[in-house]
Amino acid sequence: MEFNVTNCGLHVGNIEVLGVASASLFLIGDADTIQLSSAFDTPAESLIIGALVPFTPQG
Amino acid sequence: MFSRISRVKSFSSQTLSFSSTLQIGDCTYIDGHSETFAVQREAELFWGNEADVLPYPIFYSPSVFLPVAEDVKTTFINNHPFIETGNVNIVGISASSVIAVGNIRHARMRSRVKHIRQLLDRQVDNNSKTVSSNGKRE
Repeated sequence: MEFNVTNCGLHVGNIEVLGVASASLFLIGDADTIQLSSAFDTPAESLIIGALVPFTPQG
Repeated sequence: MFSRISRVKSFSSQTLSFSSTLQIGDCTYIDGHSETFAVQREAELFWGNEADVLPYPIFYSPSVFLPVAEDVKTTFINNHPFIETGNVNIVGISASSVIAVGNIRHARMRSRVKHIRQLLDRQVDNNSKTVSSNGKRE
């Protein structure tokens, strides 16, 4: 496959961002490759009701 | 091939925390990784030695990044040599995030977040004023 790109002018005004978090990437520029992977888990069993026990107590 | 130059008028940020990076200039590799284990407890309680090893599959299941080996022939023609932005203001940058101004070759970012809420047993608290009746969960 052949992929030809012609970039003309790129002018952006002001940028206001509140937060960039959780291994995010904010890029002003060009990139060859970008690979992203994200997983967020809060299943039903993560709501624990009862006596508070520590997670994986050490020693 | 001539690469473009990023031109930013000004940059400001209030917080940059938890291994985050502000990268000014070109970069070959970016490999960011963040693991977050967020516990919200109804009781103000924390044992300091908790969660050194996290027994949840979200943290030890492998991230699948396919090798970048597509048979694509790319050509870029940059008629304008600049990528221009005005003032950039980012309030918070956190958890292995990267702000990059400039060209990068390869970027790989991974994030794993696990949320857990721990609430007190409602039946134990039956006499307290904040409790729902007969200990049932709503």
